[in-house]
Parts: sequence; structure tokens; C-alpha cells
Amino acid sequence: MSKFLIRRLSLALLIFFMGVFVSYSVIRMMPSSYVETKARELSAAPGSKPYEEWLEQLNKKYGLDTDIFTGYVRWLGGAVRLDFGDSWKYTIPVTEKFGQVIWYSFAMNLLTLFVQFAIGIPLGILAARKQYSKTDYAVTVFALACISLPTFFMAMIFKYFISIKLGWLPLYGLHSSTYGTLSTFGKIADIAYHMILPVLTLTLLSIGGIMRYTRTNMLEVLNSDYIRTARAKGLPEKRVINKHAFRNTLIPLVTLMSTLLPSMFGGAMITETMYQIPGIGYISYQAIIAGDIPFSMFYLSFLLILTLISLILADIMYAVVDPRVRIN
Amino acid sequence: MLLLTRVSGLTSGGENMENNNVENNMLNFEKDKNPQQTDTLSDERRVKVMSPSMLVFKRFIRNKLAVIGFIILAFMFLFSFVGPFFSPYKSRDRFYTFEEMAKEYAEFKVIGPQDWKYLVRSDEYLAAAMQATAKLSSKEPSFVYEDSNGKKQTGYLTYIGDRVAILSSQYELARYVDGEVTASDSGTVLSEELVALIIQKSQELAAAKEKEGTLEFEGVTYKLVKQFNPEDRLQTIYSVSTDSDIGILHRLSFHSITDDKSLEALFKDYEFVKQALIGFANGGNAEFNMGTDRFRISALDSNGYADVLRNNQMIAKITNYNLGPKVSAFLSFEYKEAARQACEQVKSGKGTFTFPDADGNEVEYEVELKDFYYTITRIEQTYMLARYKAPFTENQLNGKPSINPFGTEESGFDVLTRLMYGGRISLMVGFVVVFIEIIIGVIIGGVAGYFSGWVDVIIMRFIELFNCIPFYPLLMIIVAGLDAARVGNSVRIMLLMAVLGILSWPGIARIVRGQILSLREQDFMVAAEATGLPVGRRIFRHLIPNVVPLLIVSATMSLGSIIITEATLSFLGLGVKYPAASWGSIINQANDFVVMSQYWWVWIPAGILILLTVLGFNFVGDGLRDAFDPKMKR
Repeated sequence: MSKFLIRRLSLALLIFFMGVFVSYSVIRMMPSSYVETKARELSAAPGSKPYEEWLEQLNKKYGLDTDIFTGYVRWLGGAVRLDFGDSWKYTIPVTEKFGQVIWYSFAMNLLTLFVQFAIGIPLGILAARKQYSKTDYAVTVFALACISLPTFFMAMIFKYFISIKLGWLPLYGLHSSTYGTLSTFGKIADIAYHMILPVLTLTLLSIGGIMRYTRTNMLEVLNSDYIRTARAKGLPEKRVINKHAFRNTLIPLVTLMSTLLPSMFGGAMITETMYQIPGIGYISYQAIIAGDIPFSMFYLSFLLILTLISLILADIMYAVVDPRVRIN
Repeated sequence: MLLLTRVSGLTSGGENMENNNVENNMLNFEKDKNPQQTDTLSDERRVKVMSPSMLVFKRFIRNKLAVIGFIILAFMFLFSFVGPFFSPYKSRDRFYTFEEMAKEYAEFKVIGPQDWKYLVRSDEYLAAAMQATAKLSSKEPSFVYEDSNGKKQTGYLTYIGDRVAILSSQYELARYVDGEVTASDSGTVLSEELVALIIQKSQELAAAKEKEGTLEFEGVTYKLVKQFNPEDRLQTIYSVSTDSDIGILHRLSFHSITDDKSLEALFKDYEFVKQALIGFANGGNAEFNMGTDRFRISALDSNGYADVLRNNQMIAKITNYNLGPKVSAFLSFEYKEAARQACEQVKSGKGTFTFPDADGNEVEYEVELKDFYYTITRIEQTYMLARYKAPFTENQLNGKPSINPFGTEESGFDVLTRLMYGGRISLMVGFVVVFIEIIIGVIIGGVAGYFSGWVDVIIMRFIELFNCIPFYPLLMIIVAGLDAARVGNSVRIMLLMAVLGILSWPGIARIVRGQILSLREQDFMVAAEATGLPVGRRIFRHLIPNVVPLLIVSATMSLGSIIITEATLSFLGLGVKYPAASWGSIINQANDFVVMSQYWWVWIPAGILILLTVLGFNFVGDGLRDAFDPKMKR
């Protein structure tokens, strides 16, 4: 086990360094819109230096005058000491901004996780049990429709019909204007009220995948020999499904759950942007658009680490829930 | 036989398939045994032997969802690629519309007893005229006013009728300065005798050190008053003044008959106005000369108006009302009369009248009584860009009325036409990207799967690396970089396709590798190796064709997700840029809250097309997977 872990971890470390290098190279190879914009702004001031001089000075100041490899080593040197520099856009240390916003994303995604499993798994099982029935077709079409709907369009449809036409839920944001005057409980309720639509959107986005995944696995389990045995023994169908089939369906679902880790912390970029939830996704999107290299690099490496951890976790979880699997 | 092997390799264990194959083989076998025997109608051997691809096709069309998906896709392709040929509009056609706008056109007012207007001989008498208007209602013959130098002066008002009054006062005719006489008003010509008299009198007064004196010439009394020049006190200055008219006050208005701008200057000319109005006030039928022109004021008509004729040609009407345009337009007298009659009928609120315009079309005007005057508004048809016009409104294209079934958007483009051209880009991006990712994926996955060992390990680590790098953030960084590089739109689309293809091949590579790993252990590959076929032939002729079914399935599925990705980028303004259309960039306009809430037709149809297309690809992909592999029932 420990040998396996060490091997996986060292491999993950290698992939991390390479992945970050690739990301850094891509970012550096792109024309830096941030520095250019800033230089143009500064040179436009009366009596200022010409644009080229500003550009040179800013490039030096922001550490863009080095070649890519030196820049990467310099960035990595800071990163291993958890010093990711100051965000250019937000003008505070990257980690500080991250600490401010990550919990919104986490809360939203945790909520989504519960909702989507609570809805998706039962529906998937239902569809598998009644294969080729009307229910099955309905579930399949619903799942495929959820997968086929672009996030932004789904969010807009909700905003248009639920927020604008019906006026039930707020259009965007995380707080009402009266947020400051509310009690602690009221504040939580206010945030929850604002999170209904984002959570609904996120749920519908991933529920299709979960339903299909559950259905496929359930079908496979239902076709296996031990289910036939259980039925042959004369067990009631309820017991066959709930005790024998369902538990075995959970095995692949556990691995699916661990792959959800990146999305839980990584934030849902488009959804947060659509509803202007100041989570890590929205904040990072704005940083990326502004060409804020320190924040973009931090976000990319953060997601990279999460993905790597989730992959290792999936392997371990698989072995934990299924004793037949041997790690090595 | 080769085809059969391929399919049975994939579908081992499939019940339907197995039965069919067995049946087919048996039939073939029997046929071979008795080749000369003829078939009867009920013979079992007449049952058609189906090829594996036919079987796949049959299974595909038995799946309702797959067929629906296929129909959707067929529709989308026809819509996007063939639709534009049948569309009456081109992608860059801008639509215009006539918008009805009420524009304030003119103002009407009957000149009331208080509304005295004045015209003065020169600007220095403005103060006198203004103060005179205040005295007019009391009909006092004279009043005291302060002139522009702050000196008290006496003004006299002579009424001619109740609409015209002449204001007269001491009027400085000329100045004597050290032996020279100059007229105060450059327009006045002083007779030589008068000048001589002034010089003589001034010198007399100066010798006698008198401050004031009078002189008479041709029955007019002139008054001489000593003045001082503060800069040169040694100068001897006498101001020569006389009682004369300095302004005219009236409650009348000139309306020119023709659109002749020079007339406006004439109606402000003091001499002309004075003569004309005196003539009018005396009941008309007056004549006078000005310069070389001979003017005539006709007798008053039944309305109390008089014509003004210049050299026997009518140039204007004198009336008792004001009617001036609020826009730069010439109002004919006929129009003014029509407007007057309409206004006089309106005692309160609103009324309307029509009057033909220059082209003879009847134009409707609205008359409204404001506090003291009437405003005349014209319901004008303004020709303007048809922005955000709702579906099925009639707009104008190149002067012809045309219907936009899906409305128009921000710049007056037809939404339906944009959806067609947008579909081209969206579908094309999808296909090109899938093509790129399949080429890269098949080559890399094939190499990894076939060679296995350390090649496989390295490639798999590489794929893992690619898989771990966050897709969307990296994509956004690259595409935002394209913004800073300011590349053109078509280059941008191509770069976008390349980037998407390069970033999304690992999925395909994985599938190909997995499939090849399992296939290469099978007997037909051992046979191929034993025959001594070269590696390239073995990979591309024997392995890859067996991967094709799975490849088709995953390509179909990833087409959907690529269309979504492109739409998302374009929606965020990072992909295809306006005015080039893709379904995503059409929805981009709805980032504006007003567009989202008010003009649903701009963004909802594009979203539905994306949804349907992706759904179609997913249905077809699902159906194909089932058809290729009947064991895995969806």
C-alpha cells in the first residue's frame, strides 16, 4: 500500500511540475494584455513617458523580462514556499483573495453534490429497473437534455423565466441590499436564497451524467450472476434491488464522487460567472480575462493538484469499497 | 469474412447478433451444398442475408431516440448549409424601419394685446423700445426712459390703429468733432447744407462756450449738446440730435410666400418694416420705394391680412398671428392658414389636421394647446435601423417591405439568417475540431496501444498530463491572449479550432489505445503478424478499422461537447466575434440585461438550436453505440 502510494505520489508530483510548466509556458507565450493595457493607461497621462518605456519598466516590475524557463523557476521557488505573489487585478496576495472566496464555491458545490446524488441515483436505478419502459425513456431523454444544455443557456433560461418573468428568485449576486442589517440567521437564509438558482443549475448540469452512470452500472449489476442467484433463492424484488444490487452499484459511484473533488473546490466557472457569485470560479475568470498571471497560475496549479489528488483518491477508494481490488 | 470478424469481435456475447450470425452461416452453408437447386417462394433460403453494416443500420433505425436525433441533425445541416441559399436575405443585410415619431413641428399663436414686438433703428434704442412696450397698454403718449448712457430721455408713442405704434425720441443724427461732421448712423446721408450749418453753429457755440444750442433746417429743429471725450478733454464735440422715430412697435407678423432666405433680412430692416406697417395700419393700399425696389401694401382682405408686393410681385403676407417652424423647414402660407384654422378650432386639448407635403402626400399634424400657444406636432415616419424588432414585424430592406420571422437584432440583422450562418460556423467548428482530435488521438493512441511497453508508458503519462491540466481555464487564457494579439475574425476562428482540437485529443487517444490493447491479443492479429505484414499495414488495415465503430461513437458524442464549448466561449465574447455569427456569439448579445429581459427572440432561438443539435448528436451517438454493441444496452 505505502509503496503504491509513494509511486503514485511521485508520479503525481512529476505531472504537477510538468503541468504547471506547460501552463506557465502557455500563459507567458500569450501577449500579456494586462501589462500592455496598464502601459497604455500610464503613457496616456499628461507628461508621461512613452508607451514603450512604460512597457519595458512594467515588464521588469512584473517579472516578465525573463525567459520562460527562468520565470518558471522563479515562480516555482515562490510557490513551494506557498508564496504565489500578489494578484495584479485584485492587488492583494493571491492566497488572501483565495481564502476570501473559496468557501462560497465550496458551500455551493457541497450543496449541489448532495442534491444531485439524492436525485440522480434513485432516478438512475429506477430507469435501470424498468429498462425500455416509458420511465426509462423519460429519464434517458432528461439526462441527455441536461448534458446537452450549455451552462450559460440554462442559467439564462432560469434567470429569464424564474427571476424576470416570475420574480421568484434574485437575478444574481450573493447578498440582498439589506444584507448588512440582517441577523446571523437572516444572513444565512439570504445567502441560501441567492444560492437556489446556481445550485439548481449546477445540479441539472451534472445530474444527467450521474443518472446515466448509475443506470449503466445498475444494468450491469442486474445482469450479473449473483443477482440471478438472489432471485432464484426467492428473495423479494425489493430486497434484491436494495441489498444486493444497489450496494454493488455504489462501487463505481464512489470513484465518481472522488473525481468530483476538483469541481467542488475548483468552482463552476461559467455558473458562478453567470450568477455573479464571488466564488473562486468567477474571481478566477475575471483574473484570467484581465491577464492577471499570478492569479491564473495559482488557479491552474490549484486545479491541477486537486485533479491529481482526486485520481489517487479514486484508486484508494476503489480498493476500500471493493475488497476484490488489490492495490499494487 | 473480414467484416464478419470485425463485428463479431466487437459483439461477442450479443444475443441477437449471435443468432443472426449463426443463421447466416447456416444459410450460406446450405446454399453452398446445393448450388443448382432453384428457390421457391416460401423457401427459407430466400431470407436476405444481411451484412454486418446492414445489421448495425437496422438496429440503429429501430432505436426511436436515435432516429429522432438523426432527423434533428439532418434538419440542422439543411438549415445551416442549404438554408442560406433559400433565405431571401444575406448575412450582412441590414433592415430598416419607419418609426412613427411625433416631432414638434411648429408653434402657433395669435398675437394678443400684450404681445408687442418691436424693431429699432439701431441697437442703442433697444432699452427705449423695451421700456416702451411696458407703456403701450396704458396708451400713454409719452414716457421717460433711460438711454444706453444712463441719461434720462423722453420717448413719444404715436399709435396708428391698435396694432402699430411709432416710438420717437431724441435721436442723435451726427457728431461734430473739431470741425468735422460725421453721421452717427453710417447709413444716413447728410446734405451738404446741413453739414455746413452744423459746423457753423458748433463753432459759434464753442466760441461762446455754450453747452447747448439749436438750429433749424428745412423745418426740422436740431439740437446741439456739448459732449466730452474722457480721453482727450481738449476736443470740441457737439452731438447733433433731432426728434425722430427710433423704433416701431407692432402686433403683426410677416409671412414670406416663397422660401427666400433674403426676405428674412428684409423683414428685419427697420425702414422697410416701418413703411410697410404704417401702410398696413393705415388700411393698406400704400406704396413706397426702397433703394431700387418699389413696394406695395395691398388693401386688407376679409381676414384683416395684407399682401406685400415687391415690384408687383407678391412676396409676403402681413397677419395678426405668429407661426414659426420648430424644425428647419419652410412653411408655406397655405400651410400656415390650414394650421391656423385647425388651431382656432381647438379650444382645449388636442386636434389634428392634414396637409399635403412637397410630394403631395397627406401628412397628419397634431395640434395641442399649451398654456399660451399651440404646438403643432408632425407624426413623422423616420427611416431608421430596425433594432430589436419583434418577430413578424414588417421592416424595410433596400426600400422593399420584408418580414423577419425571427425578428432583428442589435444592428438590424435578420435573426433567422444569422442563425443559419451561425449554424455553419458552429457545426464547422465542431467537425474540424473532431477531425483534428481524431487524427491526433488515433495516431498517438494507436502507437501507444500497439507498441505498449515503455512507449505506452510515456504516452500514457503524457495523456495523463494533458488530462490533468484544467481545460476551460487554459482555453480561456489562450483565447484571451488572442484578444490581446488582435487577430482578425477568420484567423481567430481557425486558431480557435486548432486550440480546441489540440486540447481535446487525449480522450480519443485513450479510447483508441484501450481498444487496440484488447484487439491486438486476438487471433486475427496473431494471424496478421504470422503472415508477415508490415507494422503500418497491421495497424492501419487491421487494427484501426476495428476501432472505427467506437471512434464514430465517441466522435459523435464529442461533437456535441465541442459545440457547447465553442458556444460558451463565444457567449463569453472570447470565441467568434461580432458581427461574425455563431450560435454562441448570437446569444452573447443577451449579456446586456435589457436584451435578455426584453428581446427574447434574439437569444432563445439560438440556445434552442444549440440544445437540439447537441441533443441530436448525443441521441445519434447513443444509438450508434447500441447498434455497434448490442450487449451494452445504452
